[in-house]
Amino acid sequence: MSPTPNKDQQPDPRESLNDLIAGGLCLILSFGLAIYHTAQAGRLHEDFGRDPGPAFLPVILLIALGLSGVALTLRGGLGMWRRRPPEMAASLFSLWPAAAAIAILVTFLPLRALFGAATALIVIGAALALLAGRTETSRWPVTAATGALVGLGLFGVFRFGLSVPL
Amino acid sequence: MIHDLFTTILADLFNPYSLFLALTGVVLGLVFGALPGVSSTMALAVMLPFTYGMETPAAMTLMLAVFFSSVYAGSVSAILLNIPGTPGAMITLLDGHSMARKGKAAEAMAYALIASIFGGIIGWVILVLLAPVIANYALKFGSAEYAAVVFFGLALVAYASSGDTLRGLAAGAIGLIVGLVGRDKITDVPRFTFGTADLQGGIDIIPLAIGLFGIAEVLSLLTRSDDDASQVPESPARTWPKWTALRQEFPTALRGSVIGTFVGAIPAAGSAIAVALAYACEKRLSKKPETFGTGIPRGIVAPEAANNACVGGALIPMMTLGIPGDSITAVLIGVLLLHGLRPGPGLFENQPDLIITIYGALFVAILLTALVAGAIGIPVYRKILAIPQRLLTAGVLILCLLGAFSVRNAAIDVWVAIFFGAVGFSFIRLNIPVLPLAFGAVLGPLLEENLRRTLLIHRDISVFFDRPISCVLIMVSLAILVLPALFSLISKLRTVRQKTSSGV
Amino acid sequence: MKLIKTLAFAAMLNALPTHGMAQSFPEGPITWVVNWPAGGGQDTTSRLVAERLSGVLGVPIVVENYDGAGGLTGMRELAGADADGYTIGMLGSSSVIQQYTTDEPVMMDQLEVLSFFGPDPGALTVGADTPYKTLDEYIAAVKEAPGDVPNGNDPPGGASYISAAIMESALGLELNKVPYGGYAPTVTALLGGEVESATVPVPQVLEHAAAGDVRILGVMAGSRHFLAPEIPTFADQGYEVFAGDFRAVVAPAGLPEDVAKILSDALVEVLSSEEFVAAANAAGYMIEPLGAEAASARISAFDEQVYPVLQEAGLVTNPK
Repeated sequence: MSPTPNKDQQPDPRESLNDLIAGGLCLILSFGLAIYHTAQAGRLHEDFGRDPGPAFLPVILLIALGLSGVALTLRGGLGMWRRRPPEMAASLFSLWPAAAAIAILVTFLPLRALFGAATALIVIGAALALLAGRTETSRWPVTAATGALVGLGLFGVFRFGLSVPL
Repeated sequence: MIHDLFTTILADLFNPYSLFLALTGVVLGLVFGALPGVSSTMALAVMLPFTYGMETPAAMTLMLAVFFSSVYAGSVSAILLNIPGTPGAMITLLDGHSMARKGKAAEAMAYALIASIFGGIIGWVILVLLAPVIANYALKFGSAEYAAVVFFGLALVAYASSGDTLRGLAAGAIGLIVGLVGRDKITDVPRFTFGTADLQGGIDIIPLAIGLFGIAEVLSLLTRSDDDASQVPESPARTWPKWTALRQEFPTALRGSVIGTFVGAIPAAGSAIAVALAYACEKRLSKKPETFGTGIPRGIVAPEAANNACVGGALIPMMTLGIPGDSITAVLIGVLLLHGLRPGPGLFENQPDLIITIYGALFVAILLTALVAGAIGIPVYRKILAIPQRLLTAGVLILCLLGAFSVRNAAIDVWVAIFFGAVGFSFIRLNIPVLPLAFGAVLGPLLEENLRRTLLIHRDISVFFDRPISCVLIMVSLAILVLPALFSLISKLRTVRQKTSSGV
Repeated sequence: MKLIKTLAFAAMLNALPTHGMAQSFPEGPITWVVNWPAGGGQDTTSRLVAERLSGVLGVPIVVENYDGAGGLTGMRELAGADADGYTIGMLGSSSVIQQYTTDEPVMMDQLEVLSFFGPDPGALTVGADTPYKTLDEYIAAVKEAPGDVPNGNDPPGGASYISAAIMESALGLELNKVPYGGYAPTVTALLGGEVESATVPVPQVLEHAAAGDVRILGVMAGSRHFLAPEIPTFADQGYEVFAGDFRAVVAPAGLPEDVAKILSDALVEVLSSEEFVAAANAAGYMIEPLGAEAASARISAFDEQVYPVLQEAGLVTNPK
């Protein structure tokens, strides 16, 4: 899936930065969830006799996640300290199409609540086609219209072919 | 008398009406199953109302045809679009989609089809010949054994997934935590639900996989096209692999099929464990384990054979005990109930004709799937890749939304798919392996439930070592987890010693 | 099949604007919400009724499965639907229990009862390899080793868990209640000998009892089960234990009175028809057609019986 950073060589500074980000995220996630978990009221922390109880495994996993977060942060920090990473701002900006696609997907449920699933999918289909076809040569009204048609067609398949209550 | 029975049943199965039903079922299964998010369970549920008015054998013929063909078709969206429609296809996409990206999508689908048919037939043969024996063995499989086999599965996934170990560990922990969301299976206490009602049902694995693999893949394609729009065009080269190449995959297919049938026969074990076991087993046995995940046929054959052999396996507890082993056979039992037949150990003794009809119908379904998918399915499926990129992108993302929704008809599943789409995309950018997350979420809840149930019944953790099956499985799992580290340590020590000795 | 779909769609288009006029109810397809996956007991019984109700009302009835959260997802869908009679669904005993044991539950006053379907009495079943030949022997053994005899049942709040809890409280027993995710795994565990007894409804174990793999020691109902008249009830053996699941058909609260009456009457008509009773009995289900009022009374009675048991078991997080 992904190339392993080779331990014998000098670590790639970008991989070190990845370690640092991943480690930070793990730490935030484990701390946040740990606070939520320990604060939960109700029967969660009761004594369940022979059963170690529903609170048992989450604690182990949160500790495991926290520890791997610490390890990743340390490894990343150490690597960064050895070699500075290249400028990241430009490569971050190149992610905009992905962010835009997620933003379009997020509108599905609100649009569905307002106008119904068919309309929502027509709009989303058109928007996604425009986004994906931005570098292609075809004219934008055609792209939007075919995208909308894809949305409507798939709506038909799921609503009437599979009777999904969309 | 048996001969008479046999000929009437043959006549039953091969009359034009039955064949027409089976063909309809196969075609619908190939269409529904290829849609991401539309599991075999759902395809069967959609067909359920049409069986109300049918005779029982006709209804079972139709349903089994949908069942088998939709299980195969689950590999199609995995290969073409990197979207696993079912947990059983989560492994297939590793090599399947890699192969498709090299422009060999049709060949990948052909390997998947051949392996599926092979697995289906092996599963069928074991079902017909050994069902009662295996059913007894499956009953011996208690919570302790179950917990051990899931632990074994997790160990194999850890072993089989490539990428950085530390990051894989973190991803696996996140996956296991995702599996905790919802109401605890033992005490019914909600965990990590954040006070919302929507999360009480837990995070379903299919929307998660749709996001993690499908949406994430499209997102990274979208960002890639800016700098290098180099998608390899589908090569017009051969669809069907050469016989010599195929012959090499025979042992893999056989091992995968046997694993699939046996795991499928354990009630509630499910295809996710079977495919993980089959894939990891092949990777372990391979001389070139590093090629797995780069688009090699063996990485498709192993999980697909196992996944489809599960069909025969899952029918074993149903046929012998009248107990549904999974959600799919539950629908089949529902068909029997709607026709006034109460399944149980007696039903099939009292109605031998029904048992033979079911065996026959499954066999017909396997053959028809091979024919229809091979002659029409693959050529049509590969046309999907001829769709212009902009429309394919829009279509795939919409399919992801609709597929996620239709799993449980729940809006929360759409949010889950989008959220894990973003997570999967970030993982790709940060070079974190996603497979441990997905399998953690599938296997974690099973492990916890069975582990705690074992403790409830037996009090003591030592029971895992008292029972032979679980003891062996745990020992092997520990060996898998510890030995590679040990070996690398030994080889390191050796090189150090060599260096020092050569230095002197 | 295509024809049905087309007709359903056409009917739906026609029906949309006139939902308010109840005189001509129903004018379009009715959605039947099932809060468990396809193939289960709730689904099978729903489909048995829906198929015939469609004939009586003359409109298609579409069964939709909403799986999740122990049936709560479907109940929420049902309670949140428009109260126009075009969304109805099946309810089981666990939905009554969940009012008190769940966060964000669906309360019974959010629903309107249309008819009773029938009871599904619990039973005490033991594995054939266990030493318990009679109910007396079983009770004596459990009293001797409190908390040690493993009994297979649902997770807390599920019907067979509550059956076990009712039995414990009525007879002063303490079982080791081991939860499984549904009846099928519970029965598997009983057959495999992982648990010694189970408290699932009669149809789940009947065939296995006939094959000699399990023994049903007693039925937790006022009268013997129609499929197994040779098996005595608890009361026959001197123990007052009445427990088990039941099913009823409900709609969102606030239904127009005439619509509720049309639906309720149609349901009772279906449930009383000989053909339906024969089909349902063949599938193992007990039918007791009751109209809206009698059904409500039955559900309230269950509510009053079960609440103290839940309190005793420490399951109540949402007190009455």
